[in-house]
Amino acid sequence: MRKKNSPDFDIDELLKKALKEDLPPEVEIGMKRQLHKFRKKIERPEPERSTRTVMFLRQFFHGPRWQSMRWIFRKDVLASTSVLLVALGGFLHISGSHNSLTENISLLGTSVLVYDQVSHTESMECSVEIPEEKDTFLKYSIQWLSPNLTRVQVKKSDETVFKTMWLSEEEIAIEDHIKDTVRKSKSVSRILDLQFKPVIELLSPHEMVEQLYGQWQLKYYERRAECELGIFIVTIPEEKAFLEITVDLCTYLPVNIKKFLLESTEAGGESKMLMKAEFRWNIPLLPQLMYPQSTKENQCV
Amino acid sequence: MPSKSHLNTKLKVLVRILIVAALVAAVILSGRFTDFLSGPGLVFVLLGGVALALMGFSASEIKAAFKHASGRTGTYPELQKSAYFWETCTRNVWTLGVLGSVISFIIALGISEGGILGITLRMSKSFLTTVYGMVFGVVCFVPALKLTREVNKLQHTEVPEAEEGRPESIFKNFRFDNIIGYALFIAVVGWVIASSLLSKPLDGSLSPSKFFIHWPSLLVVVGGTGVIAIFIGNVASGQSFTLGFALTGIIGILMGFVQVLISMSSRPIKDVASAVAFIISSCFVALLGIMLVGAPLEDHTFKVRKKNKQLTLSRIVWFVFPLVVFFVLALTFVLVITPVKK
Repeated sequence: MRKKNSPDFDIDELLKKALKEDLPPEVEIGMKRQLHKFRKKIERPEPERSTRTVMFLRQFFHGPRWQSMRWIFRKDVLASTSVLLVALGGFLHISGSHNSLTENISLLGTSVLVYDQVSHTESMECSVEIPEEKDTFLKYSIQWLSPNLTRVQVKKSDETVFKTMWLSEEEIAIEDHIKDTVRKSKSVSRILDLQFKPVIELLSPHEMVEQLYGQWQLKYYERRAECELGIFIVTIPEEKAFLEITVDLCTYLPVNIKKFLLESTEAGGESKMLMKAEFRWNIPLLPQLMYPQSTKENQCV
Repeated sequence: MPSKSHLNTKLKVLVRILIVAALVAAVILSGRFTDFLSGPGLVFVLLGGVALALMGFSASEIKAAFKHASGRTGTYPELQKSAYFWETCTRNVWTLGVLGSVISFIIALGISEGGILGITLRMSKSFLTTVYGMVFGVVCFVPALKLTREVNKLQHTEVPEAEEGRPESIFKNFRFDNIIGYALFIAVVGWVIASSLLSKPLDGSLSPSKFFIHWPSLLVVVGGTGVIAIFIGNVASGQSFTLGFALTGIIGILMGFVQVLISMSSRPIKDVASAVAFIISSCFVALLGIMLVGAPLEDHTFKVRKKNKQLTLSRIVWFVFPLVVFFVLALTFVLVITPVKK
């Protein structure tokens, strides 16, 4: 306790007097009110929005409704559920559960394998049928020998050959068996008849894989284990058509290709077949067959 | 009125930005780097980065971090928080880059346009997002490093406040900004998936869920994370989730690869494809889990408890796991496009 004669006591008294004089009574009352409010706030602070949320959640979690459900969050229950989920996931995986990602990866994988196998073939024989009016077909017999020799025969439904084309790196020759003429050229596009256009993608394995690589859109793949065949569907948007390619799963080489009109399938009707091709791969072919043997008058274009 | 030195500093920053912008523009206009451009990838990393920053921090904390990065001084806790913010930004954009690659990879497999060539090109382009993630990660790492140095300097002079009593609940720190962050992140992921899938011809009645939800891997990763998190304990800190997702992700990857190796020699392609799908989906779920659950919880824990040392293990996971995923994705790409005949 300070003594009355100490210098500090004097200063305190002076300050008290000065402040009392400086402070009007209404200000003093106001200050006291503010001080009271401040004290109250310190004693019980206004909760923040986040704190209020936490408090609400706390009240909820301590409430009777939550108490009855609390067993769900018991550690042993959670652990058992988690283990069950893992087991279920493992079981689903082993049992062969697939999603679209799996389907597409297998489609891509098969296409890549077909691309690779077709690119490495030595020879190809392909019979093509293109439906014409009234159950008649235009038939093609394509023979291809590595490195790049092709012979295409165009036949009528009764198997009579009316045109033959020989295609090599150097030149192209087309023999017309009806007119008895042979036309030769260095450029394919200059003399290629419209009659050969439907099979232009099948003239060689390279042509085919080029289409598969960059043009045909991969759509669907299905494995038929019972006959070791795989069927995949590709679409050709420019032609509004789709191809059904059946692949031998031992060699990954196409067994047959069927071309259908896309619109007929979309309309729910039966698919209209545009072409059917059957393949035989790596069979022995006579090289002399792959060059024109005709002694008839040649016509160079 | 701003002082002359302050104006000079602003001018210097502006000149630097202009130089960088001119360099970037020159690179783009040269036409040699068009292969390195991917709009959706760039948007994904940038907007996703903003969303993830908002998930872990409030707008005021982000503002303060930018101020500190531009040279403003602060107290030890402030600078520590800002340094951590930039570190999380590095983590976020890097992980987002890899996550973006996984998403683009899945989308590339879903779109059949352009045949084998088209799919292969899209798959290889999906790796661009990782490059963006890495570039932005480096950009964010610079302020992180700078501020960490300042924090270390202050550590010797300023004594950090000692923690007293019971630690504050980390959930108390969740704010409205964080909810916006979550919403934005979901919107960005949704937009990237939708814009990529809807602009291209799809296989039949394709919906994104058919591609992105692979139940076996989802159940294994989520269930496995649950088990690990429960056994590690301290679930609220987020570290258990980070570790859980990363470890189960790696288990999923290994399971998938073992199945691929077994199937490659004798089984049909569908089995190999199933294993590859399992690998990709495990990576996707694990990365998404780390981003959505583990990392934000750890950010809030750090802000409350400020224990930097506890983060060492998480840091390893944050930066190594996405790298593992990136290499796995590259290996998967090779696996898918390499013909292996039975």
